[in-house]
Order: sequence, then structure tokens, then C-alpha cells
Amino acid sequence: MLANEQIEAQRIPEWAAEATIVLRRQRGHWIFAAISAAIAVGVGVWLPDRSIVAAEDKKPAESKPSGKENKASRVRRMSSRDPLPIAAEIDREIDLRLAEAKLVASPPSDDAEFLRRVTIDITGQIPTYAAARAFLDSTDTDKRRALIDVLLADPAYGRRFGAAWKRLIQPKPASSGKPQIDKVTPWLAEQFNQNRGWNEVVRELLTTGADISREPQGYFLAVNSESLDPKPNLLAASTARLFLGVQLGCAECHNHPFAEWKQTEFWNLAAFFSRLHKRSKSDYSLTEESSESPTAAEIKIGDVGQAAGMTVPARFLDGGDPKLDAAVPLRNVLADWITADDNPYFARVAVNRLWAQMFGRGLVEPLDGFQPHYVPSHPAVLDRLAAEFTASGYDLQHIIRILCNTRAYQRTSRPLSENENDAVLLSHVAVKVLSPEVLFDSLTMAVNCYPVTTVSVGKTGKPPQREVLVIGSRDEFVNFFSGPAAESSANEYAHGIPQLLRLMNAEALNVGAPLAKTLAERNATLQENIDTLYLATLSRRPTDAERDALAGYIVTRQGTEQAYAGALWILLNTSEFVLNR
Amino acid sequence: MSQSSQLSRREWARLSAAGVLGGSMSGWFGHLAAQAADTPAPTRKPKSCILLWMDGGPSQTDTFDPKSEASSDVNGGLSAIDTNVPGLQICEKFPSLAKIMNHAAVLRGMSTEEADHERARIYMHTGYKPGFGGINYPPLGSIASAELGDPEFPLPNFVVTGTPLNKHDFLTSAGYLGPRHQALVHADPAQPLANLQPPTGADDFDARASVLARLERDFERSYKATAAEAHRTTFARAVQLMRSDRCRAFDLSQEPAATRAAYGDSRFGRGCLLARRLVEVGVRFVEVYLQNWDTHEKKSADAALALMPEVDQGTAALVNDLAQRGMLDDTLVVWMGEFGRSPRINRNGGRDHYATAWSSVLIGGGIRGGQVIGKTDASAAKVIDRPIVAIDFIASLCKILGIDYERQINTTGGRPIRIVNTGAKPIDELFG
Repeated sequence: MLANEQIEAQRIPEWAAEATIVLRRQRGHWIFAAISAAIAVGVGVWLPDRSIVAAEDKKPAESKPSGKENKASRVRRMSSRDPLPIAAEIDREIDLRLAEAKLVASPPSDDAEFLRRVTIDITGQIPTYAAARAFLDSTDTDKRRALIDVLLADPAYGRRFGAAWKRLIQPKPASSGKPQIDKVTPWLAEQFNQNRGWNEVVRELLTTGADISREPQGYFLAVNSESLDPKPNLLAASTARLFLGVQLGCAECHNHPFAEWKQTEFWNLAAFFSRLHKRSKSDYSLTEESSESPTAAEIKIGDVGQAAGMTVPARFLDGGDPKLDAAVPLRNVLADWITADDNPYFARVAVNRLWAQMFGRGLVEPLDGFQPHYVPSHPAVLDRLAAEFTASGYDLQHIIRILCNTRAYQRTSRPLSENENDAVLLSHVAVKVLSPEVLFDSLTMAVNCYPVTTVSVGKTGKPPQREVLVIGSRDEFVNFFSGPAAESSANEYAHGIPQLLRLMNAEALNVGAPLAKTLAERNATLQENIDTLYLATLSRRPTDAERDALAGYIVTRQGTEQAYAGALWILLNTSEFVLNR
Repeated sequence: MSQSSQLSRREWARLSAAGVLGGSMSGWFGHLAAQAADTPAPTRKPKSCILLWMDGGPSQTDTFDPKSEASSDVNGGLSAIDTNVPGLQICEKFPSLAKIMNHAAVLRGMSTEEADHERARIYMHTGYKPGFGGINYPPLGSIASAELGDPEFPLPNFVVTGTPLNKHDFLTSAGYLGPRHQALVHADPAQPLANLQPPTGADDFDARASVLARLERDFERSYKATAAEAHRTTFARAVQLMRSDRCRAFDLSQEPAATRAAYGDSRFGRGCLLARRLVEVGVRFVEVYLQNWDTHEKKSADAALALMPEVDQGTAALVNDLAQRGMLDDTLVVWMGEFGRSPRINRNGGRDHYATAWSSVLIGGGIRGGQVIGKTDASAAKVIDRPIVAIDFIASLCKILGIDYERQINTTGGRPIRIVNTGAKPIDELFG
């Protein structure tokens, strides 16, 4: 296979090797670890940009799939393009705007700030104890750049983005009822971990002929159906929102109240899905073959609104008419237009989302606010990133790598009194709130932390068995902590009193943490134990004052397991823990 | 956002005089400075509000504006009954309510433009159309919490109960008023408030909390983030709640069986009882949510009809209970949805959204009861007398509760927002 032959062996920075070894043993992803250890070098696997893309590029008109149409290489795609010059360009533009506004930027973040921030932003969980220690103690001058690469190679990256996209596609919380095996998040995670071109992923989501009742790649189509019957209006609204950055919803029934979309324009887009239907009563794979209106590319508007009853043709959002071909399904024509290199929305919308993910706020807000006239906070940055995204073959990890390597991203989030009120020009990084999923996973990781940097491996090659504390059902926790709509601002703290009462007084977060037991029983000094608590929760070492504060509490309780559980409780309830600074 | 998210009017005047505030303040500021000189001092006992929110938009014809003379494609075969107010008839499905209409003002002239659920919910809770001016407006409950609530009060001053919120999450944000005035959402009134007891005991909890407070102070000094302030505020409110014995108000089992029976064995009925208990201990605003009145077709129309007995029983029990305890004059009960429904039954056996003419009901709170304000035509399609627009409606609620609806609140960024938009005129007929 491609990847392994082309790996150049180089010295892996020590701390990265340690971190990946610990990751491997904690997560058991042996195969992935072997590859990520190699990739952690930062050299990467030198593949032509579009190798994987090209193979799947020219797909013929749909054929019934075997369910394995996504049979790409199991190794992730890595860009050969250098992220650093682009990051520098972006920084120059940001600095220019700061100077124009006479704003002074805050200084760079310290290592602890950066470590926790980038780990959460990319992998959706706090750093492990071992990773935190290794990074903080490393003297490698290139360690931040290397950390970014290690994190992008972590399977948790794919899970984080997969879960986020699942929620974007289906914003409604999971309804109560029979628990179903989630095939969608793992499939999405795989697309991200393989770093498949985003244009390819979106094209598959829109044009798959798979059975949408069962196959994960059919999720987008299934969600926008009623009883698994695809609905053009739902598909149009969702496609526009997610991939074109445009909130068209209201225009379904009347001319949009405050943007410029007319009702006919909404249905022009919906018309691309007008021929789509399931193959038969029992076959939920979708097709446009033998549709009721095989030749027309048009749709009849329903009973509501000024354009009620009109029949309108399929037309792109920018007013262009599609070139139709009897051999090519309508939705493929739309997918091609959306993912074309010259589409004005697709790349910009995608990089804007990534920007919002990293910086807490998009260059364009809201994320579906690309109405015909929109004003990005940094137009030149948006354009540059969109161009780079396109040129790299829609490489998401490449863009994330660029963003995380900017000075802007690596700035501290502590404001200066001069730039305190700036929320847009990036004089300091925005403090974000841990989402419910990240909060759950981070709490679980913290209470179960086993504070070692190397695990003594027995003869079986596996780590010793340890008791794990489950703090609750993940789905139930996430639902309970989910505030307003999926795309609410990452900076908004939405928890109310019931949520905090639970964090404060739930049994599982007060008693029985394996970490507390370990600390009480092991042979270490009070100082070492407090340092461990901090590293396990806040991914840094405490200041002297902080150490004293906790020491007082622990000592008056004789350093028992309950004393350490209380100290752990204190750290888990800090603003610093629930926030991403 | 700084530590004190709102400066009093006097402070604004002082700071401006000192030249601290920027030039952009000129237009409205003069007005504000002038007002600062005569801040009114509230003298009356503060009032409370119980909002019975009929989510989805109940039909006016099937509730408080019956058209028994019209054809069955208008009234769906429902007839009307007399009430204890001569000349006032309401739907036959509300026999208990018919006996308390002397306390009520039925507003039949509601006419409010927004017929989309999400937009109308926000409009009727805030008096502002969503997204107007790019601001997140606080719902009336949060405003009541800010304007009427005692800042030292250990319970949140705005509580929401009833069927769980999914798309109605705008209620969980207090918009520009911040997390201090955020609603406490307690979906199931039959359940006590969960997680009130610290597992390792109150003393240990206090010890931990005090160490936590020290750590928090340093973080706050360095980071000054709105989110951090929100976390600390909400944490403090949660602790206050834990330590207060007033949260026994959430425990319905403390209520005698006879009272619980009077309110009825339904989530809505229990919500009404909870509302009374909360108002009794000093909560300023309780919202009781009831789904689902969005009756586009026969199936949901029948389901809504089936809700009416529990609404009838619960609401009447609440009003009677408040009256018996001498609380009715100080407690305004509001019955409404986000809009009404179409005059004629549609071809699916239901009714569609209709904001052009609909009804809401105000009970108690010191209003002049036993009256109808506004009138619709023979099929409740148009308001033919005394239309009531949204801002007038909200301004009226404010006036009844003793909230100065013209007051300007300074939001983050210094931009002042009036509690109710300009041009609002409260409904005179409500006031004695």
C-alpha cells in the first residue's frame, strides 16, 4: 500500500513518542498508533494532493452501490503544502487590522494555555496527564507545531468532528425510545480521520445511492426525508444551510423577511431534488431513475405563499441555469456545482466553520449568514483560506494546521485593559465553553486518570486492569446539558442552576473517583499529589498560592481518599475546568 | 462585560458628567441623564406573574371567543356556555373557568403579525421581533426577575415548568440581562429539585466551596471572560438555592391531598400548583408550559380538545386558590399562546396559524375583571373593534406588574434598549 513504503524514518521527538505510546496503551488503537508515531514527526506521508480524490472524481451516473463505495485507502491523506507561510500571511493581515484599530495584541499564550486549548479544539477532550507532563517539560522549540500534528493524527479528532457534523445535520436531540446503534458518527469520524477531501464527503452525502435506512452515508438524505421519502424542501433548506452557508428556511413559504431570497429561489434549489425517490416500497436506496417526471427538471410549489402553485425550474442559487444531461442525475448536477472550485460559497463556508471552531467566532457570523451581501470581519483572510482549501483538494486538516499555527490562535486569552472590549479583531483569543460532549468526556478522563507516564506492561502487552468510574450515561448527560440550538455561540455559557447542581452534588462526581484512591494510597508527597491533580484536570502545574490552598484542605482531612476526592471536586468545579481558555 | 452589568441611572449621569463616556452616547443620553434625577421609588408590594403558556397557538374560536351562531365549519360543532359575567360566553369545554370570569379580562382583539412559531414565541415573550437590531431580547420572565426581583432572594426569580423545552430554548437565555436572570427550568413539577444535597455533607461542602472561591478569584482577575462570570454567577445561585429552605416550595408532596386533587392529576395541573407555591415564597415569575395546540389536522385537534379539561380544572383551581389566600390581587395570571388559529376549519380537519385575530386572557393582578376588550367578526377572522398589538400587550403586562415599560436598560456595548419598544400604549380599560 502507498503509505508505508513512503514513510521516511526520522527521529521522533521524545515527548511525542511518549505521548503516542501512552495514547496507544490507553486507547488500544495499535495500528493507528504505529502510523501516528511515524506521522508525528511532522514530515508526513508525501502523497500527491489529489491522489485519492482523482480515483473517485469522475463517478458515472449512479449505479446501485454495494454499500462499500467508500473503499479508499485506510491511511489518512496528508497535504504536501506548507501551512506556515499561509499562517504568516493570515497573521500579517490580522496585525494590520489591529494596527488600524489602534489595538494592542495580548502576548502569546503560555504552554499550558496552548496545550489545553489546542487539545480540546482538535480532539474534543482535555490532554491526558502524561501528554500534559510531556509537553510542558519538553524543551523542543518546535513542540507546538509537532503537537498540532499529533492531535490531528489522533482518532479522537475524527470523533469530535464527526459528532459535531452529526449534530449539524440533525439538530434535534435524540428522542427517547429505543436506543439505536450509532453507525453515523463512526462513519463520519472515519471520513475526518482519513482526511478525505471535503468536496468528496459532501458529494457522497448528497448523491449516495445507498440504502438510507441503514447506511451511514445516507444520513443526510434520511434526516431530510419524511418516512424515508426524500423531501425536496427539507433537502434544499439543509443543503443551503450546511454547505452554502445560507439560511433559506423562511423562504419556503414566502419571500424571506430580512434576507433577499425569494420564494421562487428556494424552490429553484429544491427542484434539484424533485426526481429523487426511494427505489421501491421496501428498498430505501434512493434513485432518480424512472421518476414520475423523467425529463423535467422542475418542481411545483405547494399551496402556501405568493408563488403558490407555480412550477419553477431547477436553478443554482446564484441564478445560473444548470446544464442538464439525461445521463446525469439532477442531484449530481447540484453536487458538482456546490463542490466546484469556482463555487463562491462552498470553500468559504467550510473554512469559516473551521475558523469558528478554533477561534470561537466565525469570520462571518452567523455561520449560515452568507446572505447575498455579507461582510466578513477579515475578508482577505477568508478569501486566502478559501483559495488554499480549494487548492489543497479541500483538505480540512491542512486548514486546521494553518489556523493552529497562527500567532493569532496562539495568543493568550487574557485581555489587556486596552483590548478588553475587542471581540472581533483577535487581539486576544476568545474563551470558549466546553460543549456537553467534551465536558462529559473530560470529566470522565479526569476522575479516572491514572497518573503515570509509562505504563508497566505485563507479559500480555496490555496495561493492568483498573476500575473505571462511569459518571453517567453519555447521551443522557449530553441531553441534560445541551442548551439552545446546535449552532449557538461557543462562547456562550448556557448552563443553568439544575446543570450546576448536578455537577456539584451528583454522587459520581463526589465519591469514588479512582484518581482520588490512587493519590491517597500511593507513596508520594502532598506536593506531588496536588501537582498531579492539577495536571489531570487543568493540564498545568499549580502556583504556590494554589498549592497552599489545596494543601490546607487536604491536610485537615488527613489526606484520605475522601480528602483527595474533595480536592478533585474543587478543581472540577472551577471556571477554568469548564471553560476552554 | 464588567462586574456590574448595569449601572444605575445616577451612575451614568455622574460618569458622563465626568466625561468618561464616549461621544456616541449623545443622542439618547441626554434623555437618560434627565431621567436620572427623578428615579421613582417603588412603594407598592411587588407583584408576581404566572404565565400559562399554551404552546402552538390555541384556537380563539374553540376557547375564549366562541362563535356558536356560526356554521360548523367555523365553530367545529363546539357550542358556548354562559359565565358568571353577564353577556360573556366562553367555550363549553371550560365549565370551571366560566365560574371565575369575574376576575378576568378577555382580550379578543389580539392582532400580532407573526405567524411562525419560533418568531411568534419570541415576539410574544419579549415584545421584540427576533433578530431585531441583532440583539437577544430577554423574555418577560427575565425582565420581571430583573425589575421586580429582590437581588438577595435565594431562589431564581424566573422559573419555567411544564412539558420539556426543545425548540423553545430561547427561554433558557436571559439575553442581554445575563445569567442572573436566566430561568430555572424544572420540567416535571411532580419531581423534587434534583441534586440539592451534597453527598459528603454540608460542612465539607462549605469548606470546599471556600477553597474554590479563592481559586476563582485569580482566574477572574486574569481572564475577565463573560463565560467565566456566568459560570460563577450561576454557581453562586445554585449554592444559594441549596442552602435555602425555600426550595421546599418545589416539593408538591407538602401540599394537602385535597389541594392537589383540586388542581387535577395532570402535569399542567401540578405546574399550576407549583406556580402558586413558588409565588407564595416570593418568586416573581413562573411560566407553566403546555403542549400542544398546533392543531393543523384532525388528529392534533382532537388531542388539543382532550387537553381542555385539565386546563379548565388547573387554571380555575389556581385562580380560586390565589383568591382564597388573598394573593389574587398581587398575582397576574396570563393565559395565552403565540397566536390563534384560522377561522375556518381546513380540509384536514384542523386549523392553521393565525395571528390576525386571536384571544388572550388576563386574570387577577389588580386589573378590572369581568370584561371583554376587543371584538372580532362573526368568524373571528378580523378584529372589528379595539385591536391589540404586541407591544401594547406587553406594555400592559408590565404596567400591571409595576414594571416601567419605557425604562431603558444598558446592554453590553453601552447600547440602551427600552423594555418595550417605542410607541407602546397600555390598554387603559384594564386599569380601574
